[in-house]
Amino acid sequence: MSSNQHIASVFDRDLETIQAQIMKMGGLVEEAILEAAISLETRDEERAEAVRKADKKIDALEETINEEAARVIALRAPIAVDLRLILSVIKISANLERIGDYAKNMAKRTGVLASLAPVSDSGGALRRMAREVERMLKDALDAYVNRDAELAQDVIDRDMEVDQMYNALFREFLTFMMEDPRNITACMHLHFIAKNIERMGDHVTSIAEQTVYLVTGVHADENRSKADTTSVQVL
Amino acid sequence: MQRNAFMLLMDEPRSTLDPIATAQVDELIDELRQNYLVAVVTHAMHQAARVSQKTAFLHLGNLVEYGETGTVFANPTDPRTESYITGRIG
Repeated sequence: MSSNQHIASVFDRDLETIQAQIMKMGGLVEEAILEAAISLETRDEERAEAVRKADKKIDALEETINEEAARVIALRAPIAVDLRLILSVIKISANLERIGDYAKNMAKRTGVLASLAPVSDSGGALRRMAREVERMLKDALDAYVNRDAELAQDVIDRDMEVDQMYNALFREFLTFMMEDPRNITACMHLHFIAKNIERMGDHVTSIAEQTVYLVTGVHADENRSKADTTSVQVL
Repeated sequence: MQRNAFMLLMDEPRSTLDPIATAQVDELIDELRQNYLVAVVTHAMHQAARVSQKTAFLHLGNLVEYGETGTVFANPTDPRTESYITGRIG
């Protein structure tokens, strides 16, 4: 007796349209993460500039999605799963916009880092960390569109690996700075980039939590363990 | 209204009413519930959510779900309730 289709099919079309925009935004953000990481590793300023410019498209899509969500709320007065869907769309678009900003910030720092001596294999390590976050984002968006709470929970659990990568890089950059003060400028920029990627992981986790809420109606466990211990430990 | 009544049954109280009259009925229900147990039978989902504290969803003569109004409308446990209140079944 239950059904997935609304009696008013135009409501279904509104919801499909707004979710398609979320997936489009997600695709742009995935690309921004990868491109920012590659431009950092290859010290390619032109590629970094393209990432900075592309962020405008991500910001514009967030605006469009929020306007569309407001329109659906005003016209359809959604309740139950439809209300949770619209709320999740608003939150996910904000998460994606923020991840896009972090990618843009990485690209901004690439210009400065390209003018400084490279610090060990830090570019490669950051690219691997960014690649992991990009995979998490892809899975989080797949979980969202397929209403797969299990995959969403897996994404939430994987954030701990990103936190551990950040911890390792934090220690590494600290060591390089202590070894040679001439590394300080580059290492500070690299540390901000590592922190940006770690925060991207948190936003991806938030997207996965929205999926769990959308599917189950229950918020994911807020007390998940976090592995970023750099703010509470003397190293 | 019958003298010494403790319960008031309202059958489709917003039927054919305009938004202002509907709001007045909502106000009246809120006022009456201070002294009476008010049971509202309605197909108007948003009015049901606005004026009630407990909601029961009945379908084809069967009680499908009963609970706090906030829970029933935000996160119903029975898929039939969800399909009905979101307009997927009539």
